[in-house]
Amino acid sequence: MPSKRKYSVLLPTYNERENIALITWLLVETFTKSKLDWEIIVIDDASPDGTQLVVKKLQKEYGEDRLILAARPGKMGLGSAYVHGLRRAKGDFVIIMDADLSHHPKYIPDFVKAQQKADADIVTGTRYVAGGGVDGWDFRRKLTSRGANFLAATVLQPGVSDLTGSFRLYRKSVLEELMAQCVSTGYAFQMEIMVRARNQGHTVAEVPIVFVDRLFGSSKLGTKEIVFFIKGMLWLLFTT
Amino acid sequence: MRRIAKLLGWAVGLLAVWLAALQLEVSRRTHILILLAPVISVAAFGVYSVVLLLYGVLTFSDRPEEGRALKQDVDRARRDLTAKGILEPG
Ligand SMILES: Nc1nc2c(ncn2[C@@H]2O[C@H](COP(=O)(O)OP(=O)(O)O)[C@@H](O)[C@H]2O)c(=O)[nH]1
Ligand SMILES: [Mg+2]
Repeated sequence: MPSKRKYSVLLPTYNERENIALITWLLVETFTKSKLDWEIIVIDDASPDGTQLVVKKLQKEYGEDRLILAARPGKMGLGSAYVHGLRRAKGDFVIIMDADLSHHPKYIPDFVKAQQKADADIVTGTRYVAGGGVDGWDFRRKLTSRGANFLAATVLQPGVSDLTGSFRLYRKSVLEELMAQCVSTGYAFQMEIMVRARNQGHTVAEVPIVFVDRLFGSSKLGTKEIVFFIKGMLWLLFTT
Repeated sequence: MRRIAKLLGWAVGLLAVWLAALQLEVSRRTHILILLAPVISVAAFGVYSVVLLLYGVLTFSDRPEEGRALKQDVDRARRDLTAKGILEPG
């Protein structure tokens, strides 16, 4: 698997002072073990909990060229955070994942292998195939996730099993192209990027991942997010 | 072609088939069945969706061992990060 390619990890953070240190450590461990060239870009939206102070300490340990802090003046949402971080990325491939440890860095070598095997433009982590799954989800959360994916799969026919997951690897040029077209926010953003990727004929590979619900802090999935998602889906139905 | 156009295409096609079927000279029973066909189809699709969805939820793989493995990894990371002075002990 060793390759000369560079992998840029985009980590959006909002109040993740513990998690950012832990995930950075685990990322460095994974990249070192699998002999991959890497950089990490933290996009922090002025977290009041002092996330950026921890990032600065981490920079002293791992180097400012490896760990880049792309700060923004206030909480502006995930979609634009990715765009902001992508501008700083120098890698050939970009890995997007949550900083809250729901996405374990240990799966990254699987993403890299799947990308190389199929020469894929995108590799997406999926909870819905053999080997994948979740930990810490109740019936309601499972129903919501399944329901959203089932609905979107029926209406949009995108041909991937996990439309709302956000643990993915992209060829950088492809991600730049897709980001420039996407307008949705929230969970609909993950769906839109995949639907557009399929429309444009980009190759997509899947790897099983286990999503572990955040150990610290709480998730924001509520009725508002569900309504937003459905609106986003209908919008894609009419415009793509 | 836009997704909505494809969907409308199907809808118009099915509507045409249904309207044509309604013109057929058949028994009263069959005619009523044809008349109700759209309702029956929608209901059948609804049942199919609910069954598939519930099957999906019930077979959604629970992997508590991954949660435990993560906790161990986190402990390992925290020990080193604390030693390096990046995280406070505790
Ligand atoms: N920069 C930035 N990061 C965010 C924002 N909202 C969420 N995040 C981060 O995005 C990731 C996913 O957020 P989370 O609340 O766990 O979403 P959920 O898992 O879908 O409920 C985490 O790393 C958050 O810290 C935001 O507005 N700006
Ligand atoms: Mg989360």
